[in-house]
Amino acid sequence: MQLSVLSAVEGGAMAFQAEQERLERAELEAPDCQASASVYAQLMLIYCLQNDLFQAKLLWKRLSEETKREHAELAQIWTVVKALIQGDGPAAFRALNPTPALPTYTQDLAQKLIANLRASNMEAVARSYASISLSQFAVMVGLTEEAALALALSQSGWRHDPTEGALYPQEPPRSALSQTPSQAQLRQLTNFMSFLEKQ
Amino acid sequence: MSGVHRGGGGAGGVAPAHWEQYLLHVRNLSAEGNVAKLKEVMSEAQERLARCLDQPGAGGGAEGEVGPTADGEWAKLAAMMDIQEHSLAMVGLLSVCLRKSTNDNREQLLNSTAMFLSECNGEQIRLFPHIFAQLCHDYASHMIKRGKPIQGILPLTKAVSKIQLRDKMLTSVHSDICMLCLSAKIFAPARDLLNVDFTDISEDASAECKYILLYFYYGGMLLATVKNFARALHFFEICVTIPAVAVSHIMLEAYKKFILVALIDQGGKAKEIMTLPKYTSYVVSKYLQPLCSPYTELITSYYSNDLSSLQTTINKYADTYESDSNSGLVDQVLSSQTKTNIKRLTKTFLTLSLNELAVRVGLANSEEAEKLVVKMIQEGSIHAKISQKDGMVRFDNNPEHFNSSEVLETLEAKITRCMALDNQLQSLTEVIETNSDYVKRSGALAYSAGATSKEDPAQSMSFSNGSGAVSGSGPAAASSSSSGPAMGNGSVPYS
Amino acid sequence: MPLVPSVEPMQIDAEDGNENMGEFRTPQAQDPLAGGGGGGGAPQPPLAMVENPTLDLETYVQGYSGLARLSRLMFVAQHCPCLRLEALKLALQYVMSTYNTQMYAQIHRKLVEAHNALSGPGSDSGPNANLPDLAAGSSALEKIPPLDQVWMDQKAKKAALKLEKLDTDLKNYKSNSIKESIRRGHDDLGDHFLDCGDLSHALKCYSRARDYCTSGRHVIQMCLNVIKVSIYLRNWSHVISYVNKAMSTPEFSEGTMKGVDSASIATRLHCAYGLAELANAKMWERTERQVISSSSFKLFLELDPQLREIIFNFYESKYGKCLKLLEECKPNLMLDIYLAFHVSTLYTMIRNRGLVQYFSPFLCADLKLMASCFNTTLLDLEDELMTLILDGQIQARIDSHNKALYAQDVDQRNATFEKAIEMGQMYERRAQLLVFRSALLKNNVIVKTNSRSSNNEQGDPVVN
Repeated sequence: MQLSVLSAVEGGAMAFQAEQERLERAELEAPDCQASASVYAQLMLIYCLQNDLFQAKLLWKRLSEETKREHAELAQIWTVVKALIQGDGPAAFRALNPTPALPTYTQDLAQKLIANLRASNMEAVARSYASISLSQFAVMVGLTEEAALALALSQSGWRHDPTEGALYPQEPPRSALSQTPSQAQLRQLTNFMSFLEKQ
Repeated sequence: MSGVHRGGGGAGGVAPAHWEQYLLHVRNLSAEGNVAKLKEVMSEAQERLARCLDQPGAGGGAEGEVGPTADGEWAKLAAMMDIQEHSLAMVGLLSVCLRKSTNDNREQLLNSTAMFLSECNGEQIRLFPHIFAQLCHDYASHMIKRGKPIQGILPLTKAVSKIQLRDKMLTSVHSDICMLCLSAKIFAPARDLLNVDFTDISEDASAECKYILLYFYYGGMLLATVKNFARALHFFEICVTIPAVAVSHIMLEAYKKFILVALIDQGGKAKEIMTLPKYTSYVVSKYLQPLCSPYTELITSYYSNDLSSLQTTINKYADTYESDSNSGLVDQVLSSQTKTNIKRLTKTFLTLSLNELAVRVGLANSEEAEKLVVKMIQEGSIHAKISQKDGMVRFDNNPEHFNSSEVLETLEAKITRCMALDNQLQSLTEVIETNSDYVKRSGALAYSAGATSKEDPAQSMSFSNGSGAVSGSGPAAASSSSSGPAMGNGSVPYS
Repeated sequence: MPLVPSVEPMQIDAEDGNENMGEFRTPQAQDPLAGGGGGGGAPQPPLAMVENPTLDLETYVQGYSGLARLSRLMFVAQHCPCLRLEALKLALQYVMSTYNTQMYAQIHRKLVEAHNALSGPGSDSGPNANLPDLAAGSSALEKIPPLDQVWMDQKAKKAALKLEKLDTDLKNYKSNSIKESIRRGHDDLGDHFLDCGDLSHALKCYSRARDYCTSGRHVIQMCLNVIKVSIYLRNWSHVISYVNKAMSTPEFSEGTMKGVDSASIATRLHCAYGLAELANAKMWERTERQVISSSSFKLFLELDPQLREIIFNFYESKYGKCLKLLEECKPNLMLDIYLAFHVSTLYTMIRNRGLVQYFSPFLCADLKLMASCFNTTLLDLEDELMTLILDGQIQARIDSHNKALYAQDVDQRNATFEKAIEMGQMYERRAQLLVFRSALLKNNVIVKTNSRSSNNEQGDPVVN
């Protein structure tokens, strides 16, 4: 499951890239460079998805006081950005599921951000912990303890010790060089060699 | 235009008929490519126009006629022109009007300027890139004064492409774009710009190196705000190492930021990365460095083994950092030192308790230490496993064994890039080697030294004089080529 | 426990009136008591005062004569309050046997100052106020001789007379053009200047003898004289070049000189060289190696049992004991005019060498054992090891959990990859910088004053 989450996020990166550029253009080309709140909201979320938190921060800073006041959802998203910059995962999860909910046009991106965040926190736990308490893990992935436990146990190699309330994560194996050198790679190598010979 | 007639006879204002004549004149001259004459006519016209604007309607000598600053007057003139056909004349008109404009009519003027910057005829304005660039600078500073920097970005981006002969050419307008972006708190429009490694410099930028300095200074600041410190360091380094025989305030500020960013980005490495390359101008070491003691002391205390030393220095100079508006960066230096210290611990320890780690790097408690370690693992800067059960960290070696296909791919990409770079250097070398000056000089050198000297391309590039013989770009080359053999003094160019 | 006065190994041969071990600041130079540092070229931090030396001052200075004795005494006086009076008195006594009247006046002044400082509070608060101090103070007070102006005048006159005589002699020799006599004349004159404390003239005279040297022996003699004065003047580069000069004379390198003499000269040259390098603070390792490898050194060691014990302990891996002994003789070393500035550095280096050597045979070492071996706590040991590991002196990592030190093998393949990638990045960046720089130069871009003056708004950030 973890793999599927990750690959979905990675696959989406290119799509986000195009969307990001479209929104950035939209801002500059808007009359007086004042884009609509939806452009700003989406752009901020996309920056978060791209892990480009400081561009999101700049965006918030250049919004006029008026826009900030009139569109509460922008402030809401800013809370997310702030939490992410401070590395406060739990606060980010809370801010992404606010009441009242974020407007619908951001829902899709917000959900993707949640999934993304969960996946990357999962990975962080797998890579940095030999053992971690279930409660903390649940906080880090923004789930209830039961759901978090289910998620953890669906990963290969993770163990749970109910008496201690501890999880033993397992780092996903790295892919070693599997395939034999292809024709293209050999050609590339030949290029390099002939380049070096020339010197 | 008007000037011609003012001189001739008295009418202080601008008569449309005369204007038309002037336009025709300019157009014909540019069609003929008579640059010298054009220059003369244009600068004369500008002078007169400026003088005429100094005496607006109410003012002294003008005989009741309205000056072009009055509403609509300049627009009347502009309306007679076609942006494409009369780009040159229009540059002149706009730049004079903009400089003399008052608050009332500026809005409209700026809009027209923006339009002009995007639409004008590049071929024409490249005859006089200076005036065009000056218009861009004025426009940019007006946009900032009006508090609308963001609106100036697109027009100027288009203006850049008008001056540029090649993609990788740095123009003086680049600095304006960066300035507007900084001021508007937006990074995206500058992103592509800042990724270019320039290989060429436009005429207008070479004439006023202030704008080159500014581009790298502002660019470095932009990159630092989005935490691209490696690239920011590169920018500040270029800014500080631009050949100089005088102290520049911009360089001074860039040098301060260079130190800070170097500590933030490279603090984990040896202290030597703080030293600038050998070709740095002597003014930097002689005049700039002594002015930066609050910053150089930062380096010393960063590398001292005493944990509190950096904080002490920061407190000592807090006011200086504040007034230099560098305190944000200084704070980041502090947190960078904590990370560096953790990294050092990974080199010396196999296991360590979180508590002890917190003590050793000066963090408040083990929770903070845990958080920071997780963050650093996420960033990939260390490799470790935290065991919450007993509160220990185990530091691992880099699990990367450089045997995956990804590594192979990145390596291939890197090598390909280097090969392209090498080709570029090769072609630069060829340009030099086929340059007649070079051939003469190196021949003479070989003759006098009794040995052939094969020059290192990088070094031999460093002396090509600016007489245009090498660059061969633009009209300036033609006019100044007569001054080519500047080597008559017989000095050996490299030693 | 005061054994033989501790001296650095290379200095053992000081007995044969070897003045080149002394130091002296020319009278016209600053007051020896005023500036704490001044030695070793680079600015030195002021030295801490030594409180409890185990030095027997009289025995200690017996080993030196001339200026060396005087300057050593002055150094002790400066850095050790409890020996100050005694040292100054000894110096005063000794200076009377030379022509150095300026030095005499100086020492006398110091003595009075030191004395006043000591007895001042006592006499102010009336008699019988501070019992122990008072006794010592008043007895010292009585012993201070008044400034002997008559003696000074006499000496000065005598010195002038002697100078005149030597000068005339030299002139005579010169008119007779007997090389050997001229050389001797110069040397005598130099000796006299040295005796009067006029170092720069002494140096001049000794150097002049150079043109009249007829044999390698003479050259060496001349070099030794110059070296001696240069050491007083702390001109270390001079010392090194003259040592080299002396060593390159054929007589010296062929060893054709008379046995005993040659050995002594060789040692003196080595000592001078070592001293000079010490001054440049870069040589401990080397000296240490020499110490062990040289067989003749064993002889010197016999003269200083304490030091011998230290070294034997070190090589028998009894580091704790060795370090303890070292610590014991530290106050005395701190009073040595040359070593004082380097003692703490040298001590750390010895300690680090010990740590490195201790660990070298291990794959895994117990930190607790190691700490007890080196008389230290676990935490301090970890700190020390950390610096050594970061320095690359020990390839190991600390297991703080199990309190053990593990030797570490570096994976060469990975390290190479990492390094190669880093280098590649660096070179790429440098190349980019150069390409842009060539464009700058091609366009004659130079930051000049005129372009600066037009910068009214300067580079100040518009934003912040």
